[in-house]
Amino acid sequence: MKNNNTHRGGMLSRRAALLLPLAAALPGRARAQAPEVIDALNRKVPLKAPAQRVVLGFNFEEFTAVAGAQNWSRVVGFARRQWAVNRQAVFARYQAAVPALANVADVGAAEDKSFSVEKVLALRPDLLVIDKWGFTTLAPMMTQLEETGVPVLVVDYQAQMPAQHRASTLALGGAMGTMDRARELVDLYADRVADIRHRAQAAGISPKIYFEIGMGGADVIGNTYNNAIWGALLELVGGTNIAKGKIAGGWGPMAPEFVLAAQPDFVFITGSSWANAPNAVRTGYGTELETTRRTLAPYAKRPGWNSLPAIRNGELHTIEAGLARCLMDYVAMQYIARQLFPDRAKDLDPVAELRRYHERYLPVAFDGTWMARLA
Amino acid sequence: MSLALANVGVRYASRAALVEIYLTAQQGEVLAILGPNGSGKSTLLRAVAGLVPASGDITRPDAVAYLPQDNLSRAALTAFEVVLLGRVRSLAFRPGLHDLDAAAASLDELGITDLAQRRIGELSGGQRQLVFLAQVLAADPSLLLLDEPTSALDLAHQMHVLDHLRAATRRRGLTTIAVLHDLNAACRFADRIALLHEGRLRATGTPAEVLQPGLLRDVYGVRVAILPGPDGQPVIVPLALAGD
Amino acid sequence: MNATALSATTAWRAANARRAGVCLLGLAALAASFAADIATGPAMLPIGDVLRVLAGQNADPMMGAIVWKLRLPIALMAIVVGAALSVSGAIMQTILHNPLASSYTLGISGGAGFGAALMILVGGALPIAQEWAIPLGAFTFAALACAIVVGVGRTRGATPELLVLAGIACLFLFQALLALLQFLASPEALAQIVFWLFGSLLRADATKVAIVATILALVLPVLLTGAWRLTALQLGDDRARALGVRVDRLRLRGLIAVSLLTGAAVAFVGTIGFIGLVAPHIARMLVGEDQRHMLPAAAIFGALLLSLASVASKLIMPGTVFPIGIVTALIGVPFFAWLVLTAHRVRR
Repeated sequence: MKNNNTHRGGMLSRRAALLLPLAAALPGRARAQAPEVIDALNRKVPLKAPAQRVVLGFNFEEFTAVAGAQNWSRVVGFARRQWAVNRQAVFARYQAAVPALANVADVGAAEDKSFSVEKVLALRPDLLVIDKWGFTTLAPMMTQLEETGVPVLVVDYQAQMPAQHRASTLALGGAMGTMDRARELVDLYADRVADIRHRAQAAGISPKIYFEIGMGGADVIGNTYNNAIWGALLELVGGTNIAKGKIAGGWGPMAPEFVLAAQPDFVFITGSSWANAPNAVRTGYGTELETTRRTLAPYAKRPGWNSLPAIRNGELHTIEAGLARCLMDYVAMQYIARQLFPDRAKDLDPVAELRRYHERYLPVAFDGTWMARLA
Repeated sequence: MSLALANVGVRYASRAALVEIYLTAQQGEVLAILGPNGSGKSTLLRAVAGLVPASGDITRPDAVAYLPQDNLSRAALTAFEVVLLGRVRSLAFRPGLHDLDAAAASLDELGITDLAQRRIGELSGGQRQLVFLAQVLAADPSLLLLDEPTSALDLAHQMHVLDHLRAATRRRGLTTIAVLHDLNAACRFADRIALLHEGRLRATGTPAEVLQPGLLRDVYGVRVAILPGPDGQPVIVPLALAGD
Repeated sequence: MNATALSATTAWRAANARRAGVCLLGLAALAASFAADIATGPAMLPIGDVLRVLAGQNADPMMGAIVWKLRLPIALMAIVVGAALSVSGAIMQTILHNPLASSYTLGISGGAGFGAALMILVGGALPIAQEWAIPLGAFTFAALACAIVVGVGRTRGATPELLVLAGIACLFLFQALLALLQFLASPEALAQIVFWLFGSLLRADATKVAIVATILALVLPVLLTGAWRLTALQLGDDRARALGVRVDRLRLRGLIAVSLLTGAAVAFVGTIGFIGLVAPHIARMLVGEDQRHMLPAAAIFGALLLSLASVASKLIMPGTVFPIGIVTALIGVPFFAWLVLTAHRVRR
């Protein structure tokens, strides 16, 4: 079990970490006493026992990892749109691997205002899990739910802060009665992130990086990130975000002149399996490397980009967008670290890490292209 | 006398609309105010009504009713309701019998009770004017001020309105002051006339006294002939513009 | 008093009785709509269950929660907001002599939207809960917009033309400021702002309903004490003044009433259009311009209209709630077309 060998300074070797005992990961065992659950916003979630009827607003893969795939039988409702439409390929895989998903009702999503308190209540839930963005946007409805006795647990993987990741994961574990699994994930994450930061510090350089979402293709200026999501993540890895402070709010499009003026050393265009996005960069399950490269190639030809160090030095990459704001994001950090400080990070193997994570915590098998360099 | 104006004047921003007006009027009499456009007739009426600030002394009774010129009305109110509104100063939420009787009596006095439930927008111009006349009478005024009450009416309605006006004045002992544009109508229906020109009172007196060709040419710029009418009142016939 | 004169009074009394009857019919329709509003919803509960809950014979906390905490406040909110918006529109149309006047024309809704957005952005710094800071902000800035218009009216004379001009200037000002706020907002705040501005009855709860109801219950009787003067105003400013009505004062007081009613409504349900425009016209067509009947009728038919829209929004796509602003627009637009066509004929 966990013991004081786990220093944040990365003393524990990776191999030892992988051999952490499996005994703790017994899923679905209800415990007698009321779990003490503090969520990512430091709110006390009033649960009398591990939840048996959960409604999920977001972060479905995190839930699966922390609670275990078989605990989908304890989920009664979810915001279908946030998964089925925004992460089509992922959802298709989970549908195949988790039969219980077919019986989960749709309660509407925050992003298109279709979230329905009445539908949630009709499912008689004993817990609502929702992300911070949904929680603040739907504030009046959250109050309505709490007043009718439905506890609300807020997770926040979007802050991209290890502390919030930890709090969110432990809260989920406590709520579902799978604390041991949760602690294991938390420690794995902490260990990996500490390791990367250690290497970054040792490297002592901070290359300039530009991130952009690749949903619209090279002809559309996609959102870049201020100090949220990828912007926060790349700073954890030790890079310098050229968009920081240049856009209002957490994310948004940045003028092309800024990119040219900043001359980034590395450019990452995020890809995914968005529905209704014909020009998007394609990554994720079932995507061939050639497809990924083909959809990424147009970016190198953007006006003026051949003057960027990133393009000249062949440092145009893509990463799966779904790798941010989740428990697997340390894999993305590893990939970035490998590009930024190749000498210090040669031995990191993000693809292997992803595969291992899938085998251990998720019901779907890992395949496809999740990160790549434009050859 | 029930109305007295002493040295009354009205100034608008840049010009004097009325200057040094001395005028009186008695109960039971109809006083017509005549004059060319822009001579200050409406202003005089509004000053008496207290609707524009005026210098000088105005002695008037308390119960004053003022009928403005434009009688176009798109309101979806019935004639009875319009007449009832004449008493709006004192109307309670549920109008008392006193108010309702006054309204009904007023309609009756002018012989338009049959119009009571008709919407005012549906009535002809003449009928509408009678309704508004009933409205101002319903307030039981002592002083009645009317601004061109017949200018938009056809001949029959003109006579109708003026007849009723004079009858009501006599019957109720009102002091009635009416701005009229028609010189002949003024001759027939007014007891006295006040002639305005460029904000000043040029003459007051009986129709015969005031309506002299020389004066009329001066004030209106028109040469007229004054002929004796069949019922004793003078008839004024415009001949030509004074310059010709 | 002779027979014909007596009959005029009697006929008028009879007309009044008819109008009161129409209002009663409206109330009956409202009761039916209210019942339908409670009986429908995304959870598709069987009517029998709903009735059982209302009768107090229900042991299921979930059902109880849905009916008492969600559907009932929503149904009641539809009624009080519909009434408030309609009375507000009626007063606006009367004092501005304009059948197209609404709370948009005077910039009051614009102020409310800006106030809410401001609270969403900076309300965290205040010691009030966000949930109350937002309606408070909306209400305050609606009042501010009104104060600007009233101020202009006091210093330069309260003619309808001037007030409308001042109001439109206000509207543009607040819309521009709102756009600025939206530009500066983080994506989360922006989403919140958009979500809040989007007209919706779904955020209702008992306290909010009570607040709107109280404001309505205070403002409407005060308006009714001036009912005859408002009726006189229909004859035109000149004539009303001639009859002894203090037109400027009446107009400015009417504006304050409008600001209170509209501010309260928008503060809790966002911007829902067309009720303030359409319902007063319906009231006018059915009971005439006597404000003693017209204002209560406006309240009743405004409530009925929004209540029906609420029911419709749940029936159009069973299982989801169709945005209510779109439903009211779908009613309002054909109504307006009809208004414009018939008005042309009547004017001859």
